[in-house]
Amino acid sequence: MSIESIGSLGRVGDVAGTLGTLATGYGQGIADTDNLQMTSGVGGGSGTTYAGIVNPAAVAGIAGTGPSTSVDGTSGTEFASLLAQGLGGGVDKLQGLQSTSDDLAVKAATGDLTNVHDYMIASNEAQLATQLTVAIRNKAVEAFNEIMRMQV
Amino acid sequence: MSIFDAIGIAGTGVTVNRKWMDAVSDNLANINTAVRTADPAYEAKYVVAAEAADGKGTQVAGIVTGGPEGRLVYDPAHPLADAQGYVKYPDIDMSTQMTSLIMAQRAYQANLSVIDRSKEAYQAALQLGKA
Repeated sequence: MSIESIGSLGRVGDVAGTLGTLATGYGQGIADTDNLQMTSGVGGGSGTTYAGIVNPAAVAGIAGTGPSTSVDGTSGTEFASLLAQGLGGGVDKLQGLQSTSDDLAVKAATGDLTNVHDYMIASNEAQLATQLTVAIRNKAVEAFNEIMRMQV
Repeated sequence: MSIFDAIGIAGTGVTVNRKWMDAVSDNLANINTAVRTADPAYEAKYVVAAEAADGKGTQVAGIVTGGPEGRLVYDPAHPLADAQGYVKYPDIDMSTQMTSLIMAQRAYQANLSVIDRSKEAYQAALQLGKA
């Protein structure tokens, strides 16, 4: 997933960026490992990325955001691009999984499906990926709403 | 397949064990296939599993067949019997095949439960932080 790219955004971006990085860590931990290196891969991958984003300086940057006008002026577009960037890779991947699942569904209907489990696995993967994408989106929107409720 | 590797790997295991069940099914179906003594007998199929080329999961490396020699059975009443009254049956051991069938079935189910468990785990991860 390409969610890690959002980490570099400023202000509002940083909070949701942290969320995105959390999710990325989740993905990377699994993606970077093979069978034998499960422990080290999970520990190394997600831990480092997470620590890099949630350092005190970045948090201070959010606290030190200037006047409310500047936040109003930029937060909307920044958040939109953030969300698009954050979910961009995930959506592409999700679409790939869903089209695989669809192809296999057609094969099942036409009788060309040799492995029943292939379709079940593909549809389950598509379902999981959808849930993951929706969960990330919800968290990002939640973070945005939280910031909008902030008393200035 | 990078996010859901556990599911994909278990999926390769399911595929291999399905092919194993296919082979056993074939062997059992042909266990009574008699031929003339001059002809080759049905050759039993044995699935050879190997680690997948990309190191993720398993795959069928090939199908090894038993010999065409078969075993000769004295059955003069059989329409395919030769002058001495023999017919040729494939060299398949029923109990070995049944044991293989059970092993293949259990392995198939084991891989399926890996898929189920990892799906549950992924979904639990998505519920993180929710009350």
